Amino acid sequence: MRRMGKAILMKTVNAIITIFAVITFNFFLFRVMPGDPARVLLPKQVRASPELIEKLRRFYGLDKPLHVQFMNYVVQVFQGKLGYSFAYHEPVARVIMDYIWNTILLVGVGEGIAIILGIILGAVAAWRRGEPFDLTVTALNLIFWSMPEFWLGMVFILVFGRYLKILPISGIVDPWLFHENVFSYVADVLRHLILPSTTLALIMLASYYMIMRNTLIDVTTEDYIRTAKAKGFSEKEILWKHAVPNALLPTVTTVAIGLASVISGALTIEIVFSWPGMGWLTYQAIVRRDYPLLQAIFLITSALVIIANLFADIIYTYLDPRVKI
Amino acid sequence: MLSKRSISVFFAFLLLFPTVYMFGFGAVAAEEQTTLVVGVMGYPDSLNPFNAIMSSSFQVISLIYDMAINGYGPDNNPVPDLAESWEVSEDGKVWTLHIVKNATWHDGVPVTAEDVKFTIDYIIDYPYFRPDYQQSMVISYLSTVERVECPDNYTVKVYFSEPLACFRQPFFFIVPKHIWENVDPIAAQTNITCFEEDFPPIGSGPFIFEEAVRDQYIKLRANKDYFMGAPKYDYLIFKYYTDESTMIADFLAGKLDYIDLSTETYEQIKGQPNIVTYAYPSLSIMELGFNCWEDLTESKGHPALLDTRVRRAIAHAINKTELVEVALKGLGEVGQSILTPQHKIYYWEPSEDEVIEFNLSKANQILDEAGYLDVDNDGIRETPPYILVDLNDNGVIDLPDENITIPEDKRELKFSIWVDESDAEEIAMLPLIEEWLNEIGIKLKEKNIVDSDTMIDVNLSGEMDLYLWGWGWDIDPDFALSVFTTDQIGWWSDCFYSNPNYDELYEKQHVEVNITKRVEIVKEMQKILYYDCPYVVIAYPYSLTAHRTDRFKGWIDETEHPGASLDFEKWGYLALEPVEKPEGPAKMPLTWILGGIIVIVVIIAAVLFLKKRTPKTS
Repeated sequence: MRRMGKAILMKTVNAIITIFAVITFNFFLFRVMPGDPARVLLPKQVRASPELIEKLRRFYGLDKPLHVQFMNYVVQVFQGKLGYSFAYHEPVARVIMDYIWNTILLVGVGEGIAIILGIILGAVAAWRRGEPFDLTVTALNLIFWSMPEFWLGMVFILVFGRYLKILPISGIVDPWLFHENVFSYVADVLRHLILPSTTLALIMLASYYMIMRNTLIDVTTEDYIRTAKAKGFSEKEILWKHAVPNALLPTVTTVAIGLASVISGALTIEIVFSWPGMGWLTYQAIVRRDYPLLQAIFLITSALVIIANLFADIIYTYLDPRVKI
Repeated sequence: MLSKRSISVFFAFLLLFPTVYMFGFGAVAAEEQTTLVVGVMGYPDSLNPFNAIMSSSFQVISLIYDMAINGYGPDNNPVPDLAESWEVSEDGKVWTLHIVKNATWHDGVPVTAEDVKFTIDYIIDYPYFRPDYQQSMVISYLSTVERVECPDNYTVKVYFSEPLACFRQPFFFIVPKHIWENVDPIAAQTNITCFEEDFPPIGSGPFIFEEAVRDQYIKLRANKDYFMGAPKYDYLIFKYYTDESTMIADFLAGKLDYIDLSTETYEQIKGQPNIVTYAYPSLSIMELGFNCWEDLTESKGHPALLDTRVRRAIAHAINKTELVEVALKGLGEVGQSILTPQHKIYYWEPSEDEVIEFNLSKANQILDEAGYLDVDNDGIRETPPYILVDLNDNGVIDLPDENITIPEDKRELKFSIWVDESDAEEIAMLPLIEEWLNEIGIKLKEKNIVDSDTMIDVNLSGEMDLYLWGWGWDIDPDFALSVFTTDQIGWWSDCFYSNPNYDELYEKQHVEVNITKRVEIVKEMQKILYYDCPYVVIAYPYSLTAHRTDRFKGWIDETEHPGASLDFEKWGYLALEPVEKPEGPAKMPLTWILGGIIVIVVIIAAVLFLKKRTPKTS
């Protein structure tokens, strides 16, 4: 166990080094772009006077030597000062806070359903390989997987919003409702969450389902499964206690990658359902050339991917004692 | 690992949706307020009238704030606002405004002449810090103001160093002195958006700001003490969308009362029950522009485009009628002058023999005569080694060096063209234009469909040859005309047009307060532009809107009174009133049924699943 502790420590140090590399990359990426950084920081439409440029250079500390700038940048990142968004006229950190929770809610619930359902359905399908259940569910999964997510979203909008008129199709709350208590507010948000998160879950389901199913099919041909059968365990017991835990490993990796998108958002679903999340914010930052905002989004997304991978590694060692890190 | 417990947790999780949904729903619909809901694409960038840029911002700002003289009346005419009446001195240098006595700011402080004086001083004292979008347009309405005086609480005297014609129909909002005098003017024109929690927009207008949630909605409350009469409903909500088809689905489902439409969606909405659509003439133009930058050391454009005859030939090769039919689906008028027919008395229209008609053989003839011949027989005309840029009909071309040497790689008439990706109609025009140009021996070598910011970059640096773009003008022609002056090169000019004769006329109309005389000058300027062709104005597109009649009545016909459109001013909002029996937007019974079915199905499934497992595992 002590060795494992040490290994986790090493992994963590590695992750921290990687995050530093990302910060450094971010810093220089911004400075090797053609043109004066002070000019890049200004909205394009502004024809800046030399005095204004000079003022901005001083304001952003661009008149200092590069290593001083770099030190300042690192310090500011750790203070949470991520710069000033000129598209939103607000500190970048505050802008991101407005959107990040929306994304965590949408993608968290969508991915959550996809992961749980994917693992369960995948396990059952593998156990009943070749049976009608397996064939139907696999076919359905592949159909949803091949669908463009915005298209599925638009179908839902047409069916539930326009014809049945039973579910809200846009935004996070209905602004014309006057909520009397927090429960009715939560209910309103959940109502709005149903369609976008279902869309996301249906699209994402196949990636977890297929991995779970295929790994489990491999596992069930192993000798120890036969041994378990010989010992007289029930089928369900063999499936859930012997086979599934061993088949979970590749799924954990997929989940770790999938969770990164919790932060980066699901752009097309966000657009179709007018759900303001990180995907939409990133898109806006690109379109409006909001470099400080874009830089901060890069940083946060990469840091979270690194952290998610770190956790995946750690979980791996617990799930599979054979894995040495 | 994944035992019975985990599965139960999962089902409990699934149950969460319908239960909370059912539980909360009764409370949600309990209170019924009369609320007008407007669907809009694109969240406002700011509610601060000093730095807002987007039109969706001014849609809200114009309801929170009032103007002094409002240049944007229901018929696009100047009407009283905070100034109930006004007089102009004989020489046009002194305007006296009489401010209404019963207006108050949303925080209860009365509106006085001091507020008007403060606003004008505030704008003219710091005009050039952020000389980009709206500010420079606002400043053009105050450019020759010398000083402002308040002889009493309800009279404002504005003194001009020179008469200012466009003050007749101005566009600037009056802000409360007691709030803005403590605000650093530079911050006011850069960072402050009035979305700040501690700095909400306080105006004197018919609606009071209540709440804004970014990229979702803005909620306004009716100002029951509004001096022109309170709105006849309680709340006004702007709901913002990122996808047009979602907005239309919500509109058709009865959740929105008013939306703007695009050319593609207009036909789809038309003729639905309880829905009325309008296509009303706007102040917008769509144009094919040319890079006319004479500074060849800076410009990367094709030098042949400096020759008026080439531009004129291209103008003859554009079939505007067909473009309006095909690309705009007939939802617009054929364009001629750079001003629109909505500019009323200022609008100049070429007579039948003045018109540059669609005529390919005439276009070919002009190019032949000017010496642009297809020397190497590859179907593309070549520029002669030198262009002698001769003076055109009006004798107005004045190049620093009249003989332009053409670099070898720019001999062929091959042009790049740039189009804004957000403009589907103009993208649809591209193949037609390409075909007509091919027929007169001109090739489009690059077709660049780019985002709006890239369009602005390319235009500022003079990289383009041709481009398709558009403008939405102010009602006063001053700003529109200024775009073609030499001073605007590097600022608002996108075609780099320069003509001293035109510049002179611009200055003249700028200070001409006699309307008849000004109209004469303005028409002459339009004529110069028409024949010099820095733009080929293709169309005047209609603005397309739709509204529902089942929840509100009193809609003003926008085709007759375009200024009363809910897109920009308050007149339409003030005329509306709820129909007697307001219908709730939610269909209660169906919702309950569906929620109930989900709950029952999930419970049954869970019970069956768990029950089936129990005997075996125990």
